[in-house]
Amino acid sequence: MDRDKIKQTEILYFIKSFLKKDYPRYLSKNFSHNVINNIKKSSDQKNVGFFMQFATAASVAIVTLFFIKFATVTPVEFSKKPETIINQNPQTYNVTNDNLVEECDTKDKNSRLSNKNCQ
Amino acid sequence: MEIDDQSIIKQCQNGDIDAFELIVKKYQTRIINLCFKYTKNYADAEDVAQESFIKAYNGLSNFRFESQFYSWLHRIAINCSINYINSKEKTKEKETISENSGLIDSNEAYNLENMPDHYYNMQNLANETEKAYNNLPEELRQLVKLREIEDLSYEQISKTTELPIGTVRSRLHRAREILISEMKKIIKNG
Repeated sequence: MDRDKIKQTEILYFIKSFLKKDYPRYLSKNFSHNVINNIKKSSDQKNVGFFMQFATAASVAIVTLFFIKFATVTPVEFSKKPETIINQNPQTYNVTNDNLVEECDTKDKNSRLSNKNCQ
Repeated sequence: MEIDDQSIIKQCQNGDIDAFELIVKKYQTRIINLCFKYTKNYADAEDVAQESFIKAYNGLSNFRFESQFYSWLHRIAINCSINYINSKEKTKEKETISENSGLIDSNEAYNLENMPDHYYNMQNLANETEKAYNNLPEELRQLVKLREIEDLSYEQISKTTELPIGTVRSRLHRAREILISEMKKIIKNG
C-alpha cells in the first residue's frame, strides 16, 4: 500500500482525535509497524505449526508402512491352486434307540400296546 | 481521503495483512487512550492496545459487518484491558501500581519526552492542531466542527448549513488539506 496514503490517514485521524479530545499523551511512532510485524510473526508461526503437524503425520505413516511391509514375523502364504470344497453336507448327529427297544422287550404285551413308543 | 472500514476489512479477509495497517493508523489513538484508562501506564496501554489489534485481526473472519467495526474493536480492547487488570491482580502487582502510579507516570513522562525519535508528544501536536483549526476561515471551521466534533453526516450538514452537499464535501476536503499540511510541517520540524 502507498506509504504516503498511510501517512495521510494517520495524520487525518490524529486531527480527528485531537478535535474530539480523545488521544493519549504519548504515542510510539512504530506502534502500527509493531502490530503488523507481530501479526506477520504469529501468521508465520501458524504456518510452521501446520507444516510440523503435516510432517509428523507423514513420517508416522511412513514408519507404519515400513513395519507392515518388512517387519511381519511370519508372512502369510497363499495357495496358488484353487481349493475345492468336497463335503458340503451339513453335519448330522448319530442317535440310538437301543434303550427304548430294550424297554419294550422287557414289558408285557398289554403295556407294550398302551405304550405308543413300543408300537 | 477517508477510506471506509468495510473495503479495508474485505482486503484483510482476503489475506492482505498490510491493509490492516490502515485500520491500526485510523484507530490507534482512540484505542490506546481507552486502554490507558484501565492500565494508567502508557507503555502497558500500548501493549494492551497491540494485543487488541492482533486479536481483532485474528477474529476478522468472524466479523459479519452487522455492527460498526470500531464498536467491535472497542469491545475487544475493553476485554483485553480487563484481562490485563485480572492478570495484574493475580500476580499481586495491582497494589504496587496503585501506590506508585503517580511516580510511574511522571517518570515515564520524563523518559518519553526525552525520546522524540520514538514517541509523538501528542499533547504538543494537539495544541498545534487547535491553533491551525482556529486559524481556519470561519466557513471551513464551522463545517469541520459539525463533521469531526459533532459527527454529523454530509446530508445533515447540508441541511443545517443550507449548503449544497457538493459544496460541503469540497469545503471539508479543503479544510482537511490545510490541517494535514500544517500537521506535516509540525511533525517534520519535530
